[in-house]
Amino acid sequence: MGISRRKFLGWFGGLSATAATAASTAIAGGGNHHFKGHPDTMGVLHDINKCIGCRKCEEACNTVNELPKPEKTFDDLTVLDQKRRTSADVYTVVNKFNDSNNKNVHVKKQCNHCMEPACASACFVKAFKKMPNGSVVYDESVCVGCRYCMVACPFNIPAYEYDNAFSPKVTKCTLCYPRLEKGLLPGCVEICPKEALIFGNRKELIKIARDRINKHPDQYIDHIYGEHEMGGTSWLYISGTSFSEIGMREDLGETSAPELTAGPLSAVPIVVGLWPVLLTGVYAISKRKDKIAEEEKEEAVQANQDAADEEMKKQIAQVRKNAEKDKEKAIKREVKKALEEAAKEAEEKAAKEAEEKAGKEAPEKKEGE
Amino acid sequence: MPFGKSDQGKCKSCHNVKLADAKHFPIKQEDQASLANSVISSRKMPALEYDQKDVPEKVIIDVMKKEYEAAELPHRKIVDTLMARLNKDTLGKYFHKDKYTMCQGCHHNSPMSAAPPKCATCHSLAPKKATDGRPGLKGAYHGQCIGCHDKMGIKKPAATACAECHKKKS
Repeated sequence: MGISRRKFLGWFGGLSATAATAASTAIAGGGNHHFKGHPDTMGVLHDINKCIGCRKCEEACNTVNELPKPEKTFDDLTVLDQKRRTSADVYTVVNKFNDSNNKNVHVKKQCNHCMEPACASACFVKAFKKMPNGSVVYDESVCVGCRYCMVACPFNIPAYEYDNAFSPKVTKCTLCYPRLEKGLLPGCVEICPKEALIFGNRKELIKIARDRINKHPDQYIDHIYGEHEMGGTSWLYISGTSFSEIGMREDLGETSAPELTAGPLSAVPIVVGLWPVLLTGVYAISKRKDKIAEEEKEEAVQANQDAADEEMKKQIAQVRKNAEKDKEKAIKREVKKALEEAAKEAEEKAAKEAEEKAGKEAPEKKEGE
Repeated sequence: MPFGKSDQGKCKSCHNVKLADAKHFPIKQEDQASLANSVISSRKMPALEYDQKDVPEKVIIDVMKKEYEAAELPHRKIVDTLMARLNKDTLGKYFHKDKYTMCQGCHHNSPMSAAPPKCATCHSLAPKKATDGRPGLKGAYHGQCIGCHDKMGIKKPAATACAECHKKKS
């Protein structure tokens, strides 16, 4: 096999980490117990067929919450000619739409007090809280003004006090939580002359809405908006006009926002906890591998060096030996030469002596002749 | 009248020819039509009318006065308008021929009589949580008048013209 043990272990570790992360994501996503709401959770049923667009609800909300009075008074119905949204001191608005028969349809818009609110889920300082009576209330004392709640809300409800420089708040309908605590009805519900808004136990309201639709099937669309949208909302709507024609999103699905994000979010602790350890391990292993390779390389270089030294020594010895031999040879040669010369000299000398001797004899002869 | 809840027995009041007698009807289509026409025209439906003393001219509704004064209902005018519409139509006349049937349009869910109960008898005055589909008194008043005006396409008084039905308290 081509793969080394180290590589195999590295791959195996990486794979198991990914699998563990994915498994925990799935568990967290599926294991979310579907919260069906507190038993006494209240709600408001808005019968859109009954709304006449008188804006008394807006006026009551403004009074009850002691909000600043707007520029145009609440009995000015020309504001309905433009679509409005909630804003810093406007917790609720009524908008006018034209249905397919060119008839006016009016719809009240405000925080829907979801069963599992996206704003509460997105808020990392727990400024939003779903109360047992159904209201989603906001605590301005912990709010940091990040406005993640505005991003998260699928209905685009929370508004912000952009004009307030030092302590801006997020603003939205409170379902008149203080009034509910006193046993009163929400301001808008109490004032509506047509009872287009009724307040009660959410389960009861669903029954009432279902009943009304069944009694007048030609007057209502067979759907209670808010029963399941985004996991269910406390504010329920029934209408004779299709909801998408009156500015209400029908593409939201039935999963609540916290349920949608629970899976990936639950993976964060395991990623933060496990991956650094794992990746450090892999890094350490590969670093060690490099170190060992480095050491081995050095060793090899050293061995090579030693071998070269040895070789060099051998060669030097050899050269020395050769030099010795040469020297000896030379000496021998010189000696031989010297001997030869000496012999030659001796010979010459002997010859010379003989010559001399002969010479000496010769002249004597000459004389003697 | 609740949708789909009409009494089938009432149909027989007009469609009252017994099957046995039908055998003697003419065979040709146009002969049958002329026979039917003559039967219908011979049915004299008298115009609906009422006793002046039964129908008050004005009704003052002052049970709940908060931001507005008492409402003065032009009661007889409403009854007259409705009767005029009914009298234009034979079926209308026929189905409302009983004395207090037309009154049941507004004075509903109680036996027909010349002295129907007050709205407050069944619709509670105090604002309360909804436990069934029954509106409170304020919702009942506004719902009944405005609802019918809406269905009949009556433009004046407009539903949002609050002061036209009851003056604003200064």
